[in-house]
Amino acid sequence: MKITDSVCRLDSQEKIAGQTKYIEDVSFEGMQYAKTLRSAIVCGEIAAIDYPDPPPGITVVDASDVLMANEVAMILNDMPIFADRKVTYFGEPIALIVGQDKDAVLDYLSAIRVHYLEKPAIVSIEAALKEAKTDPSAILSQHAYGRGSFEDLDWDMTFERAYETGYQEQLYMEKQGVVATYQEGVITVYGSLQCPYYVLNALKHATGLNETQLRVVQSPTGGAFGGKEEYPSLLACQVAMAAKKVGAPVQLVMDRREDMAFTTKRHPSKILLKSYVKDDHVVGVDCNIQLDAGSYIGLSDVVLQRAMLTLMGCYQIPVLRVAGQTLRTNNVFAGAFRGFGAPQSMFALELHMHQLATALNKDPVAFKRAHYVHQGERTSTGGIFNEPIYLEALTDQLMALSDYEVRRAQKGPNEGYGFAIIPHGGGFTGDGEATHIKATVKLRCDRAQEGYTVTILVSNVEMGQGALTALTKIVAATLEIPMERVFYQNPDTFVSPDSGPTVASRTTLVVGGLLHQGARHLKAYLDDGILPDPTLDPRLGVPLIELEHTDTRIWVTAHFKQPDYVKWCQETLQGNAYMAYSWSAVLARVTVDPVTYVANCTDIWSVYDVGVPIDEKLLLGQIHGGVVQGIGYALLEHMTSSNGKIDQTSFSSYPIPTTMDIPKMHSDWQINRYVDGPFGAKAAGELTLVAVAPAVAAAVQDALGIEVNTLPITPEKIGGALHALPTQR
Amino acid sequence: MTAHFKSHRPSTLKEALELLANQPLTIVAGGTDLMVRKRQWQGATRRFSSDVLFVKQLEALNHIVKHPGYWAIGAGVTQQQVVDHPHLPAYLKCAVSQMGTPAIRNAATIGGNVVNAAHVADTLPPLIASDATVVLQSAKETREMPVATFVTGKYETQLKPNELLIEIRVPHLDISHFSYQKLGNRSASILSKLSVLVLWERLSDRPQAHLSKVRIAIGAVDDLVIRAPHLEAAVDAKQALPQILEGYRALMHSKDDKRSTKLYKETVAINLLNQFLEGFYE
Repeated sequence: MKITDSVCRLDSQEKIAGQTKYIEDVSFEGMQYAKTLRSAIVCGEIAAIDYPDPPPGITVVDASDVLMANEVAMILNDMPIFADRKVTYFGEPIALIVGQDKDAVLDYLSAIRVHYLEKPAIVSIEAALKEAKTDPSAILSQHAYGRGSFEDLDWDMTFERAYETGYQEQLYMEKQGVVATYQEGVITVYGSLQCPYYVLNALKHATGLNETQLRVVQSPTGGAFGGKEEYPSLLACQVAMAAKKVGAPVQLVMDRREDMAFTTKRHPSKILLKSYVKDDHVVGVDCNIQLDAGSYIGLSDVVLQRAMLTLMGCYQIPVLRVAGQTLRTNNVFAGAFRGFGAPQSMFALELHMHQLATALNKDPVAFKRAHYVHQGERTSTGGIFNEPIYLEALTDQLMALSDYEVRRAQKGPNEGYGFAIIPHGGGFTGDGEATHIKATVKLRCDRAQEGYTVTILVSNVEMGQGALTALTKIVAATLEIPMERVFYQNPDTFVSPDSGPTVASRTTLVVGGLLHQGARHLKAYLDDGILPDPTLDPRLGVPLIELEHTDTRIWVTAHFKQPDYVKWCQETLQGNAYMAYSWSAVLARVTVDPVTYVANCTDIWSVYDVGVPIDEKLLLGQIHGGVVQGIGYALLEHMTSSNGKIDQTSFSSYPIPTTMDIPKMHSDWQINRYVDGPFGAKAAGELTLVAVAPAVAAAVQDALGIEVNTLPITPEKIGGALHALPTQR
Repeated sequence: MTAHFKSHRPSTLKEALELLANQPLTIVAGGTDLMVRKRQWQGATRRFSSDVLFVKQLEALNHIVKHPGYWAIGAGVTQQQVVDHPHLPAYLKCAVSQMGTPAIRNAATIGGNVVNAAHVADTLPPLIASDATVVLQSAKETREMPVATFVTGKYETQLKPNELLIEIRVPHLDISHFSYQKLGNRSASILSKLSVLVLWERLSDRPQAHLSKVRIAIGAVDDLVIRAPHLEAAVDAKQALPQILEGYRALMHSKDDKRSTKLYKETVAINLLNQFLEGFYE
């Protein structure tokens, strides 16, 4: 097959027919069920727990049952597996109650009495900042970078705005769930997860066992969006201890309300942007970003870094200062979610540029164009934009696709248009792929009478995004064989190498890239007997491509090597923050009902540079999903926390878009081959969400002449803004 | 301890009423609200505090009959049956057609929505606007009362433990026009933040549109549906609109909740009413 052949997703039929067995559908022999005993307070100490004598068949698993370290290893190890002595957020897990009969588990759970010494809780960014004056540890992490000098800056006006974004819940269709078994000295965790090796590392740290005694197997994953990046490590450690103690398989599947109330969400943010303007041109920007991390740092510092490093978006700004902090609060633990900090900072920047253009009486599109970066120029962190940059072409394409000029000229009352354009770096920040991840992939070629088959061995998962199809297609197209002869091995740490986590839009770009290299060398060997270069890579200590063969099998292993142009210093945040940027430009049309203040997004026009799409249908799937999730973030998905407790914990109170809320979507893309991507592909997964909310926000402002600088833009907020400015009505 | 309860599935209304006469029972019809509310852990027993009486199978509750003076709708009639009926009043079908999702409407009953008496129940504004009544039956007696009297608060009604809601009676109104607007936090499959229903008759012999026989019901803003006959009469009499709107505003005692704010719900309900009425005042 060729890479340009359009394919159907390999997993669609089974999923649509309801045949796929998710973790909750799998029954292990003698399996017991775990329910979590959770903190009933937001912050305080556990004075005592009265556990009644457990009836036969009921087991309590808590901090005392942890084999080695009561810590969930993420980047730091600050989160306990089970709260022990202190609790830092509402619903924090204290113990698992395990049994075969769910009613008996609930009966026992309800008889447990936990005695707390309650302490004042910190439930907002402001309160955390105040706390930091006496306790600096309330600032979990902070960074700053910049260039040029504000003192020497020549400007004639400044423009300053504060922006706020709220929680967003991933609301994957399949809830969090894991099962652990303990057999023949091996603890195996099966689960709905994105990162098998993150889970394995957390299990090693918690148990003191090694990778031959611990095994992680990914089960079919019904959506994740980042929500199954770090959180399953916690659940896996808990259930592993339970399986070891009980000596039987233990299932821990969350209920929807539990999942919505207590698992990670997108970080609430406060962002301050101040622009310095000279002759209608932005010459300097000072920015500060604050994220509410919850009580543990988890991945929050990395989220903060992406929020900061995605600035200054698509713009060349000579003088810059970008600072950011993650704040410790007693709110729910915030974490990874598609876009990973960029949705917050790009909302602020893009709306800010729109508002600045409006204040200067300029067309926002033309104003933004005048600031675009170009190939060869410096990035905000002093790296170089290496690849061709198609911002002008994307903007032209978007204007033509939407008939922008005509539409603007005919714009009616309460109708508005908003434009946003953003970059998204594929893969880990800076040199993270080379220093932290060090991805390895394997291909196994089995010779047979009627040709040969190839099996992909990676730790990257299919979670609804299409990785299975994309990776299979890359290998099949490289080998020029039908896709039916390529198989994807479900990730299993006993057989799959560590090709890194399924995050950061890296699966196609990095893992697909490695598979493409591996498959090229396999083909060279199969066709012409050519063996790969055996020279050891000086940094890795192994050849980049290794090939072993027997009479019936060929194994090809490929290791990641950072492109030479990526230079990065993590201490100063200077250099190339990302390997390669993808780009997206979005135009939103909004109508606002002047009676109900409801903003309705009727149309989204969007164009993308993702290099060369691996498959156009798969890309459209990402576009449609990203736009819908972006519309939810922009207008509907209002999740609040009152005194540390999430208010919306069900489908009926947390409204994600229905088909009736989805705008008409008009999409296209540019082809911009990336030399280091498979078949020229770059990242696409997160990109499609990020620009939607700022475009919609700008459109609301364009429609009404009012500013709403917080997400989501609910009718309550629009109504409030209109009453605050009655002359604007 | 988890309640270990029995469930009853009688085949006749008489049996059902006899069961109710002897013990307090939790009555389950479509179950779309109750089964969710009583759930505690998928796979565990639901948290019913008494034995359960299933009534969806009762033929005596499954009828839609036109009588002189009113429509009789059995309490077990599903929301979708209401929507699909060719002759039931359009304002009722319009409100019911926007409830839940198709799957919910196929299971949920009209009686269940009334007797559940949620403040966001979308059947209540049309039933209260039309002065509909409920028929309550026990083994001993049958009584009938207006829906507006039957519902006494949020999730509170006058249903006695031994009674079953068997029928809803919707009077035939000499009214041919209606306007219904429901607002939720998205376009479909959502609970109401507020709803405004206006029923009226247009006097066609006049050159200018004119309202008469106006009935106005405002749902979900307060714990109870807002209906004010004296203000309806003021609209019929074409009294000054600002005073009428002020009169409605004074009746509202909404609260901030996780879906919206008091200010928003009250303001927008008045805005919608104003938008509708001002067209007739020009």
